Amino acid sequence: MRLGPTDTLSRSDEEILTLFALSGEADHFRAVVKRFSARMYSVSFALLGKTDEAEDAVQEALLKIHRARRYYQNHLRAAPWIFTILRNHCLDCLRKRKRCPESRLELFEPSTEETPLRLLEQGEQARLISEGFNALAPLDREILTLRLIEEMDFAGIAACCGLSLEATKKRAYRAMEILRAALTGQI
Amino acid sequence: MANSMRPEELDGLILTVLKDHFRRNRPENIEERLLVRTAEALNRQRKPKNRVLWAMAASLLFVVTAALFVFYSETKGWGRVTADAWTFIEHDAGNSRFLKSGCIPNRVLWEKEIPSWASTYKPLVDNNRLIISGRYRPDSLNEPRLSAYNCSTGELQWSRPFRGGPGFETKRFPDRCIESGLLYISDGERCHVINPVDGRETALFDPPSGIQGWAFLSATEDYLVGSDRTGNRLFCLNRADGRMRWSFQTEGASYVPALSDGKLLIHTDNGQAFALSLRDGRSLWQVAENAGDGRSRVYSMGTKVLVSSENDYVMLFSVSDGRLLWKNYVRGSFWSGTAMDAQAVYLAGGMRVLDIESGRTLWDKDNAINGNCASPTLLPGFVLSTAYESRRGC
Repeated sequence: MRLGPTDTLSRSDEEILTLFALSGEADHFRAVVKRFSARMYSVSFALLGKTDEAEDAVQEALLKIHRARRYYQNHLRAAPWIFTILRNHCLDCLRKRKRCPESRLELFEPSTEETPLRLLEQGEQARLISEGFNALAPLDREILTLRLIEEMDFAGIAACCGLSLEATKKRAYRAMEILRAALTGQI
Repeated sequence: MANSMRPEELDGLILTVLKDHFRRNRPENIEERLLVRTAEALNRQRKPKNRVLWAMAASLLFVVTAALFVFYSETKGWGRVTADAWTFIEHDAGNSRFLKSGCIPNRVLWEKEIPSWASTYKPLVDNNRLIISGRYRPDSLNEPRLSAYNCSTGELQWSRPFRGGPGFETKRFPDRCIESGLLYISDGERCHVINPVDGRETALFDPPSGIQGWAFLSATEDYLVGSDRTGNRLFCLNRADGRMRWSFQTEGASYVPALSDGKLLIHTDNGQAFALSLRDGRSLWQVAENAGDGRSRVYSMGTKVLVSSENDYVMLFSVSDGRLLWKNYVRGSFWSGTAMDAQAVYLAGGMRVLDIESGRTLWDKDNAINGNCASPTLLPGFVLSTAYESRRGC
């Protein structure tokens, strides 16, 4: 069965992933990539902090998803299954970085664009936010990214991260507190 | 400045900074880029798979080729001994030993110890079944038996006692042949008709009244030919029911006849060559060509009839009128076995070859001959020869 653009939009995450898992066809895999790749990139960038590494990580995670499609069971939620694969891969990358500390890069790189925000970034507040975000646990960075950047609801984030709704909300709240504290110089 | 901000203003600032940062660090068309990159990566991963598939296909091709080679070599060309490889076969009443197809065996498939004394008497073959008759020997404890083996495996299929009577003065062993899927074998007194499949006897033919014993025999089409125990009285029966068709008296004794083109061809030990009509026993021609005292074997192929005498004379006659075409002396030719095809006569176990038109020697590799070897077997383009060396045997 070939999935058109309309079909892709009208189907749930689980339907799209199940179709791909059952058929393995390129069209169905394309639908999976289109549905998840942006969110995956955001999470990957939040965890790794560098664009090329983030893109590589997403690509590797997609290949792993392609290889592991037979293990996906359609009673599982799609997003947690996919983001678990991505998260594990990103954490592997971070562990490798720890073994090679010289290769560690700052999460926030200086912007070259002449915008008011660039001025802000180059200022004290941007540095503080950067340090605060870097100091967060990877899972908290992921939660914040999905919430603030991808604007997912907490239920979806909880499913992606394998947490309860309450735990997800608490972690997001505490992460925001840390960032606020970093910004106000209280930590 | 941030210290003076309200929490919602702080959250707004954090959100703005993070969103801007993520926006600026998200490559354009990230979905398309990932689609292309992932597709390329998948293709790269598939290539090794293709190589593995190609390697597997090549291996499979190699295995199939090897299997075909082995199959061909086993069945057609170079190894497997089939029924056609044996000399005494159906429809060779002319004793030519010429096979239209078959193979030259190049290795021993199996070995069996034959009950009683098989000596050099060659086996019969029917439908991949090898039938060997043993000869009674007074000093042997083994009972003479008639046994059938699977040609390919050597597995014993059946075996039954078969002790020849006293009437072997002429032939000295149970003469036998296979015709139309039935085994005809003489015990010196009578002819047993045996089903080669299970060894059961289906009929027992007595010689015509007044004839003592049954020495040689040969069969073709509807005719079963034999002689009395001395070889002086020939007779012909219906092969189907054993009813006598005719008999013929000769002065000398005949030994191994040949049947060809509706004729019985014999040569007697007093130097007479005969051609009798198989249908009614009428003499078609008679030629006196003395080859010295002794027995003689007769072979026939096409329009030629060959006589090999015990005194090592070889003579070729025309089947149609008995005209002598040539006569030659070849030492050891009688005991070492003979075969013939349309071009040549193969003597001395196939080690010496004469041109059938002139009797001239075409080639001679007879440097080990000491007689008494098995007859050669002929295939188109090949001759399977045996030679005898006193120390090594055939």
